[in-house]
Amino acid sequence: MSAAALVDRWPLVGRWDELDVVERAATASTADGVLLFGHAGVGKTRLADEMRRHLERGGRSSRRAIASQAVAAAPFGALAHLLPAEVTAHGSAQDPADLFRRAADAFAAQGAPLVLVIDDLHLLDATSLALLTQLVANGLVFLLGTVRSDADMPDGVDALVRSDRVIRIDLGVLARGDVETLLHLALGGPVDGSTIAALWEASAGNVLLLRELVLASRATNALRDIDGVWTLTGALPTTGRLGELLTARLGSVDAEAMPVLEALACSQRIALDHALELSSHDALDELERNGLITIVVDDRRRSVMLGHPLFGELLRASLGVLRRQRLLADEAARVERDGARRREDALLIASWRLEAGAVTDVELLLRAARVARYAHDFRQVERLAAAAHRESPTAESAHVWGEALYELGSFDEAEAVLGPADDAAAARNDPRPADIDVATARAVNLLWGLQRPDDALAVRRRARESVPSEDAAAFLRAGEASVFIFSGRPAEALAFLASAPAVEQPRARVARAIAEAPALALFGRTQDALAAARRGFSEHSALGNVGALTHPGSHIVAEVLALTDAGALADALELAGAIHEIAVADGVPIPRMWATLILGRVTLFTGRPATARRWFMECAALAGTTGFVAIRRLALSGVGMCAAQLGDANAAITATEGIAPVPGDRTFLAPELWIGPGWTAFAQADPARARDLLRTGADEAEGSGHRTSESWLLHDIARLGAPEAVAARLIELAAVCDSPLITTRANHAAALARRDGSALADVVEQFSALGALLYAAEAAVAASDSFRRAGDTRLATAMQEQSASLVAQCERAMTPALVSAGDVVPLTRREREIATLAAEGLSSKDIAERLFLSARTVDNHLQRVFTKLGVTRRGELGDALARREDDA
Amino acid sequence: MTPDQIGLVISSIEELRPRSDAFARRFYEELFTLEPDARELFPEDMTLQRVKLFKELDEIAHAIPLLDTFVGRAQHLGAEHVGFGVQRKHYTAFGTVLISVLGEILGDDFTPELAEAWRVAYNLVSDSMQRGALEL
Repeated sequence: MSAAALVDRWPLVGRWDELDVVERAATASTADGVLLFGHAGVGKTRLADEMRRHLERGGRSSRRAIASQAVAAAPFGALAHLLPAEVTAHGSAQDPADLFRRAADAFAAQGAPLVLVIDDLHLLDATSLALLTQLVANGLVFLLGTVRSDADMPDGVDALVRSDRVIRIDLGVLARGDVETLLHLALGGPVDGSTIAALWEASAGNVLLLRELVLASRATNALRDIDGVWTLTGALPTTGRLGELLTARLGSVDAEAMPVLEALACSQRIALDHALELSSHDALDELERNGLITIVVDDRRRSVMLGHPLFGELLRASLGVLRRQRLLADEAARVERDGARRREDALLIASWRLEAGAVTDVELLLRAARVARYAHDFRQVERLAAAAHRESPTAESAHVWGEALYELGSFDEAEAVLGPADDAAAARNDPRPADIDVATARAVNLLWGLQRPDDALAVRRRARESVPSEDAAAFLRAGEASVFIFSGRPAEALAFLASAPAVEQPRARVARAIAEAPALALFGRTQDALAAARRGFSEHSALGNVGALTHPGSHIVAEVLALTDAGALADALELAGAIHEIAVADGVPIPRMWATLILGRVTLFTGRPATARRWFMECAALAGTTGFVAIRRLALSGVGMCAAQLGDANAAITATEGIAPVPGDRTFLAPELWIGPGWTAFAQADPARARDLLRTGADEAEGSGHRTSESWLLHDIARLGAPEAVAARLIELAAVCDSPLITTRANHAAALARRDGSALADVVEQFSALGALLYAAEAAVAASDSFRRAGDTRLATAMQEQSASLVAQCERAMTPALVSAGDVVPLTRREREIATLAAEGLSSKDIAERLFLSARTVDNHLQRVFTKLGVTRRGELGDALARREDDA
Repeated sequence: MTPDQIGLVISSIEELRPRSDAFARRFYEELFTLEPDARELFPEDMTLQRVKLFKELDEIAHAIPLLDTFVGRAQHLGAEHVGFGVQRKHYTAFGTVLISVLGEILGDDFTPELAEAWRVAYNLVSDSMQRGALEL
């Protein structure tokens, strides 16, 4: 039997369960795709192909693509030929968003979802992956993908796998029984027992390896038919490594057939006509019969592809760099000569030329960069735009390149690109739209990346003063307001916007909303903020992707801030959770960072410090990787306050060590940077310093117009035992804001200051209604104590019970206000020892020296003593200890 | 399959022939216990069905040495069974029951080697049948 005949009759064996899954998923529409995971050679490609053919027999149409490093170099590289021609034809719209939409429309028009086979899906370029994810999510295609389970998984694939509309199948090696059946069927007759054992052992059930072993031993005639029984008469090939076997097979290919294989290694798919120019008909025929290539037909075009992705990998590895570059250049020239019918052909040409080290069309490179940008593939954008800019620098190339550098966290490099371009525009004094994009990108980088808000403001102001049109000025003015709000100046932002003329132009209106909604929220104009955020989001969505605007999710962040203050904590949490899910699915770290920040904030308000701590930690990590120093500090402050409220002093200290807030900090939500250190000081048994830090933060907030932050800071002072110091200002704040949360905080502080049991009981109801359960629990404890002091045991007990059931929902929060005066939690001997010394007036350092402990350990013990005794000042320790003695 | 295994399967069919009705009776009892919903795929009166079961086993076992005939027959059988409403899970159940009832009927004659030969043979048959079912 010839090798060709062997390849030809190599049957599919032992994968009937998997086929069954696909058939049911596709015909009953219970899923929109199947991903086959497995190591190289387990038969993923073959199975996917069999599934595709099976669905075709059921009347579905299908297309096939192989992803690889070779085609991933260009956006849409692997999918280009699958996109309907009318989508990618020359002269169609340049806007990538439009391209995505047209692709979706074209697939939708197909009737039953097209079956899309994508081999080595993990190697897809990010743009193709983004498009594919959209198509799958909308049920427009049925995906059959193969994924190498030993490969690195890009974020996008992860999102696809986690989608409940995509079924994941892990394909293992074949069982021994299946190997026996396969050999029997493939060889066409009984196989000798020791031959089966040898092949089973050498292949370990890897189908491709098994096939290559059979082919190799057939070629040497070591495996032959003896009296009707297939018998191994010699040794199997010494190497049992798949790659080496395949390489050996590729090496034995006719010299005449090589050009086609090499071209395929570089470009994955070539037209049949072109393949016939490279090699003879007979050579192609031989390659096809040996399974090295396959001929595919779609859209009436016949093309040649490699029979297995591994061939491409091995061929590319064997080509030298120069040979590869020459092949790419040839291929680019060939596609161009034959007429690049499709837009993406052009992108591919540009990208190949770039990789081949040849001069290429700058406009094409930029177009490719914009397509990649739409899919958030900033590494690709950076590569393409940098090449375009080096070849011929323009404002456009500077903008695309600089923005990508900023997105990748290379802030100094971004300024090095954007700065000169912006300065040149300033000198020219003849502003064009691209100049405004440059100024905007530069200002964003200066504000967020380099933390130079004043320079950011100056860049924006200069750009605004240079534009003649009022629409452009309105847009830039909104950007200036953004700098104010995101550098911690909500009052200035609002004043600036109030003095600005009304805006009609849609893009400028959206830009204005991006600044105005959070400013209104932080300034305590809750309902106005909600309205602005919702209007901004709907207008932004209607606008589509127009560039120079942040992610539409920023409106949602503002809406969550406003909902929090509006006291709709459950809604705020749900919305924040939703945007987090979207950001995770999209694989975009910056929106994810914002989502985790607001999730941490809202979760803490609901009274779940442990969950909130996890959100803040995730946010800090994301902000660390994206370079958002300001957000990282805020998140760490959050980690600190949560850890302290859980009684974990060491974690609080570690988290807040690097925050170091200073008065006049010019960062987003700067006053809230003081909350983490404040609680940490309390956890270190220094309540006086805790209150000082919180007070400084509150003063900062008052000065800059962070009314909601101010109310948070002041309320925490009340919770740490000094309600009388803050009640009056909290009431003032409640009066100028329309926030139920702020109002309830004021009521709480006032009732605490008056030790008014029934007012505190009301506050319990109010906080419970908002969903702020820790605050409610603390108010209930205080109410119980007040009733008990007033001699009303019945109400005191009722409140005590209520507080217990509330605390049970607060994840082991250990705040001082949860300790009732009536509680007696025994002190350990060490705690009593330290408390007694502290009551005598010794500092932590003195106690530490005397007891041979570290000062930090002493503080930790003291903090627990404070909590157990329900005191908040060192001065109260003596009395509290004395009361304990009396009780005892 | 090795030639030895093919020989073992064919000679065990001869051993089974005098006890074929008992074998078929026990086979369906066990099958319907394991897969109760398979009962609906068969007629009320199983007399003829029992005869058909053994006849099919007989013919297909004897066809193994002639692979093309064997594969053709198995694929045709598989395609036919789609029409009867046979599903993927029934193949697994059929195999399990086949081996256990063969052991029960043949007793000590059902050596581990013979059991292995039948397992391999059934794998070959069911694989070909399922390929036939797919290409219907």
